[in-house]
Amino acid sequence: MALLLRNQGIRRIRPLQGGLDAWRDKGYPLANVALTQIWS
Amino acid sequence: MHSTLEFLLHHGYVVLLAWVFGEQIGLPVPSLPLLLAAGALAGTGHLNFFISLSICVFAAVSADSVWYALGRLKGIKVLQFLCKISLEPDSCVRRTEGVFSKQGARSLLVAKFLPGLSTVAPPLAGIFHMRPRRFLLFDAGGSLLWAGTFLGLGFIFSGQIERIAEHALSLGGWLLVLIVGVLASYIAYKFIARQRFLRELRIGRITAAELKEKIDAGEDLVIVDLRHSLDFEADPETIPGAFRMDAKELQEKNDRLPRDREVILYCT
Repeated sequence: MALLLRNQGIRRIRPLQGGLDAWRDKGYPLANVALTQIWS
Repeated sequence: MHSTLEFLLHHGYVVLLAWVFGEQIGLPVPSLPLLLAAGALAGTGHLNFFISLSICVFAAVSADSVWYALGRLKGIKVLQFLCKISLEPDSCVRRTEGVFSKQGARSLLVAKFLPGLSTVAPPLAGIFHMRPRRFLLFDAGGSLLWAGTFLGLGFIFSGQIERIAEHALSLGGWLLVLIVGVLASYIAYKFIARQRFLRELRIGRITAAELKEKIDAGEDLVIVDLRHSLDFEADPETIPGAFRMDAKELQEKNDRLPRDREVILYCT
């Protein structure tokens, strides 16, 4: 997805290495909230 | 080669049971040629069509039940494991969950016809706690449809399949070399394509520690959680401040992403 968007001109895009699991494994905080969409 | 055929003719049902169970449990052994062959053998009177069908359904439902139980017990980690060992893990989770969320239990009826979904649909049914009776009903229905279709095709075209088999057998040992060569080339092609894809992505990846530093420093980031809605039901936690956006929606409306801010994407 990141590669696709980058090819479509969004240059400042970076995928998170290891995804949510990597974040969780580090013990960083997590939110348990109803997420909203970026343009809603 | 003759002894191999003799073995298949004498132990056809056992081979069918083991092979179908093996494929459905996740081994890279395609059942389709064997189902066609078993159908053809039924067509020529060497095997009983209905016994073959019953064995295939039993083997498929047994293997699927193992994955279903693992899905119920271990949750989303089972799906993540399956997709990690898949040759196309980048699209695996999204594609299978998409089909499952649209079709629900009915996806079990068609799952065996769709590469990738066949092994993943039963654990998904377990992950989302489909009732056991409903799972067994739809899974048995799907298995019956799948095995019946290919055994039936083998039965109908038994004459043609017999002629093809005779031609193939005339190749002798070269037939095995050809089959192994084609399979190895396919796996190598997928592996190389995936390595190239990962190499391109690795350049721009951000680690969890780097992202944490940026968040703590108050950098103006857009963090997008690309997980499928089904993932949220199983695991509702997310990185603070992240927006959820469906991958398809992100692709269609990417012109609305801010160009002046760094965008961080993540999934499972």
